[in-house]
Amino acid sequence: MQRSWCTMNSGLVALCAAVAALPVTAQQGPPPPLPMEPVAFPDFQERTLANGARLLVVTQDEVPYVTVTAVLRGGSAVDPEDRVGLADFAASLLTKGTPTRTAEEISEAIDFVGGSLRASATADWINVSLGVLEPDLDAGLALLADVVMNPTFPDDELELVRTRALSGLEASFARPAVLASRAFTRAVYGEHGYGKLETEATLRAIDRPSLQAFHQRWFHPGNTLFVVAGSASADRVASALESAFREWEPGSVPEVAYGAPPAPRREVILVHRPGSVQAVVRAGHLLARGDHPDWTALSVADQVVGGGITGRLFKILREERGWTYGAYAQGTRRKDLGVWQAAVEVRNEVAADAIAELIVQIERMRTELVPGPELDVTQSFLVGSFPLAIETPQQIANQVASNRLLGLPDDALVTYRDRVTALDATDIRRVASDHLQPDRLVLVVVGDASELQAELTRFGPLSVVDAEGEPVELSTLLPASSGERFDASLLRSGSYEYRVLLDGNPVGTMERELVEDTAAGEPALAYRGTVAMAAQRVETEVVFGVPGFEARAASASMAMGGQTATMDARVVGGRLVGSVELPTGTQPVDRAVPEGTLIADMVEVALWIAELEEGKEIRVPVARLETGATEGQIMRVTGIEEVTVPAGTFRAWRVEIEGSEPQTVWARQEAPHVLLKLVPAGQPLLLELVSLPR
Amino acid sequence: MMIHGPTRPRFTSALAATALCLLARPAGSAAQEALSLPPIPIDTFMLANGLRVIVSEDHSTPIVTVSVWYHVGSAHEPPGRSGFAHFFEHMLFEETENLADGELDRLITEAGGVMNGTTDTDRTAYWELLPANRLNLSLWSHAERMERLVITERGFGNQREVVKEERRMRIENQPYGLARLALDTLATDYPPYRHTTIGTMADLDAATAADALEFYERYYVPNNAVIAVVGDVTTAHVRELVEEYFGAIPRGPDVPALPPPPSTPRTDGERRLELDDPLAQLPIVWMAYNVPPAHHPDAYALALLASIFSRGESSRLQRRLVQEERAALDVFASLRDRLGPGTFTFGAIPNLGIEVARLEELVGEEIAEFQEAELSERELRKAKNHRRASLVADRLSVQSKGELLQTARLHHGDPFHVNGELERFEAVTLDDLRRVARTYLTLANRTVVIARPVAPAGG
Repeated sequence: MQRSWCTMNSGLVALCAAVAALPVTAQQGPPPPLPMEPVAFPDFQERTLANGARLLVVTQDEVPYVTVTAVLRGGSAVDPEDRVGLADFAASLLTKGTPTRTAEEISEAIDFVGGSLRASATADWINVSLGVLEPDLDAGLALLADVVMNPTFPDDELELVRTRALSGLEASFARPAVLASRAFTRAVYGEHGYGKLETEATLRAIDRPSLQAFHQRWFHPGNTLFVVAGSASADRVASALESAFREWEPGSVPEVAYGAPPAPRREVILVHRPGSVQAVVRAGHLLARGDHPDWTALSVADQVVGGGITGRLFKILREERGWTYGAYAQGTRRKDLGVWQAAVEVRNEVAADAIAELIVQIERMRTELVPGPELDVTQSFLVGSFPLAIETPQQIANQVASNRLLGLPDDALVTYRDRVTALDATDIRRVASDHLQPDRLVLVVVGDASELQAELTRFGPLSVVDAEGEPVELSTLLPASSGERFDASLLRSGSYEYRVLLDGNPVGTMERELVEDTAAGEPALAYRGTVAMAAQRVETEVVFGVPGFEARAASASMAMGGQTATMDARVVGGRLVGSVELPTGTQPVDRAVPEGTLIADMVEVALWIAELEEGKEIRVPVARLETGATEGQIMRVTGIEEVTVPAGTFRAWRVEIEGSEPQTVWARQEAPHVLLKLVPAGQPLLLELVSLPR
Repeated sequence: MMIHGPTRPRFTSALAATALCLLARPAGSAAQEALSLPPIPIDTFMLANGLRVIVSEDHSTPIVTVSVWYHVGSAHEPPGRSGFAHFFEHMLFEETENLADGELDRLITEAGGVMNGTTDTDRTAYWELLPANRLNLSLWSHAERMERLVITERGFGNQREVVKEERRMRIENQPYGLARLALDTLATDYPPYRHTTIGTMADLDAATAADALEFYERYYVPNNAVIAVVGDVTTAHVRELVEEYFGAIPRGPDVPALPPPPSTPRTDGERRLELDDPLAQLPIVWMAYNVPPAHHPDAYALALLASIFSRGESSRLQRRLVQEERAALDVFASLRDRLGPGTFTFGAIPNLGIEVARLEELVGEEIAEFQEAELSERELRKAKNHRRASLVADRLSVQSKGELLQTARLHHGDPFHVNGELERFEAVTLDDLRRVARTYLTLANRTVVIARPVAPAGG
């Protein structure tokens, strides 16, 4: 509809003419805020009904619509271990039959009036929600009361819920976010009540007696908060609820025991999802209980590092690097132990970089003060967005209900904005330091393990699992070995001296020694190495059988700046078994090493006894000692060169090595093809042979 | 050939039927029918440069939502540039002459606001929700972005990566993602809709910053934009600010019209496609039917038809496929209404052990049943009651009101169209329902896409 833009009144016509005559000013900044009235927390009413149930009502009559939610204590946190999913099933089945109404009658009745009646379970609560137009409130409440008080859990409805739940569980494993969530929950919560995960077995075990027992246990008026929002008044609602629920018997309700979570520790869980083009990352750990006084300050810290489009993670990982569509982090406050979680999805090539950056950003929050302007934006948002959170009566009622259900002080809602404003950068740094701890970070990555595994071992002890959490034999994922046979009988005892140069200057020495090892009573050789460089000294040993070159044992110790780390493992029954001792504690090693797997430095010796020719490519699985995780290493013979090292001038095979530590090596053309020279990719280091065995 | 199924009684016993009558509480329904839906207040004005503004005052909470819809979408993309409109949407959050990179995000956040954008086939939408006293910031920033956007190679390259990530996240890394795109492109006969809004990786890689500038100058002009402001504001104040910030922006070239849509339904026969989906655990089947544009009078009957088929557990498909046959984990029927031709789509995922062909068969039977058997007034009444409740609930938030106003302007050329929706739905008769079911839900007009999981490799 077309209207002239200057028809309102003569004053405005004059103004319009003046505006039209102004030159266009390109340098014009954003306008300042207009004045605003203070916004108080809206009114709400609270009562206790005659039967002991609590009632919370927010009345706003702009729109003739009412929602009524019965909230009861007793969610999945109280599911029996062998019947996880019980609370979910109970919720789904509430609306599936009572003594006076079949499931069809219930759904027809609520659907006919265009309303909704739904029940669901969270970790701590059962929610039964009714939504109706105001004239249908009494009819709706009659339905609500019937399903809350009198569910019969009919067998055929139970079987239908079960069938769908099993299918739903299966389908959910296709979604990487679900796999990540399950792995993360299992790792941080473990046997704590919030760690419960449904499985096919637990879903199959749910039966009618356990549903009835669940209902008996938790469905009492004293355990219920009615949350009502919309156009009905508190008096009307109270009287309608008391009438609808007049038959409800009081009863006592047990305390909820949550159990203990696992001891916190840094670990990497790689959930193998073949064909994934992206890595879905969830990183975090547990936080304090819901009633801890630090939550408000923590939510400000969260907003700085991971909140929306101005969060540091979003700005860096998406806007600066273009690595992702979105990166966020937040703490979830729960009745018992909360949880902090950062979430990002990135393509495989940058997964490790994104995780490294995440850890950097957590550390910054703990050690640096948030700059004034950045903190101001965050506080302004949390305070300024308040009106957005009180638009509908449902929003208001949910805020009050959360406050009540978490057991927070009455004035927490009203004083929230003042408390946020009162925080300064020192407070934020203190809560981040107290509550955000990178050394306890659980890193869950859902993606293609054959592409990601090598990159992720640097973040901590790594395990590769499938969708159900069962360990995956990594060797089954890797490129097949090229089947090279190595004949260890070509080797002779002796020691070899090397020197290490940095930018052409000697900075250290390396000694390599082949020694007969008779410990196990079978012919074996030990390949020992010692590297001494500046303040670091590394000693390694691998033992392998002769002539088969099968791995037998491996050990290593590293000393640097007063700290030592040692590793020790043995091959038993096709597995590498042992332990790694770091300054932070001991980690077990237990990994499959299929036939043909080389352990650590064995790969150096493999080159000595391989049959080499120009253009040849040898692929071998190599088990890394620090974690025992196995990767595929590729050695490519590119040609013959003449090489001069302190030990002399030799004709040598030039070999390019690909893997987690790419390097170029020159190996003597004459067998055994001892290592003459080595240059790691992209580093100004050089290793060269000083002397051969006499 | 149509699939004929046996006619089944809807209620299993007279007793149940009686109980239902009691439960239905005719007095309640009468009260509901008498429930009046308060109209949404609407003012409109237009600047000389063609910018159209819709204002709806709502003083219940001191907040405001501002949305700007540019009437350009993926339908306007030339061949080789699929995904461009959406890519450009990302660009509009980058720097302007008076806003450094990231400064817009900071200003809106600091103001206590939230913002976002979405791209569809026919329009690109940008919106903020903020405290009412920051109306001026929102409008000022939209004028900045409309007239003084700065497109840099670095910004363009960065957002290219973000958009490619979005495609990976939403489509390529999700079960059914690629299959869903295949459904959209296979079903339509309207060339502007034959590619997807997210675009292909190849086209995204081929796009240049020069293309972006040209796109901006052609489509991001005041005569191609509609602003909707809903909240605790006055029309007078909105007009004052719009004139101040947008008044000097010159009118742009006329936007060329898209070709007229082909008629629906199709008569050239069923189209089928079966795909392997390595990321899926369960198969899925979609059955899509081509229907007219949103402004066509049949849109109301089609919307109620979708409701009768799948809204609520008492709906036909839920009853038959989920509860009685226990064949479907999930089933839905939905109407996608657009400026151009739309689609009416059924979708279903089977329970473990059920063949997806069985779901196709069952849906076919339910369609035939609807087309041939006697229909009940009660079912129609139920669908209308649901629609009424939705229209009421929509009035709870300024954002949903803004969305309704913009959609009405896009589809009908007239935001006042939102008032009167209830009456138009009420006017639909059983004959209308039967007619649209018979006209559009035909085999010749059907496109079927099935995505199956790949059988697990040994070991």
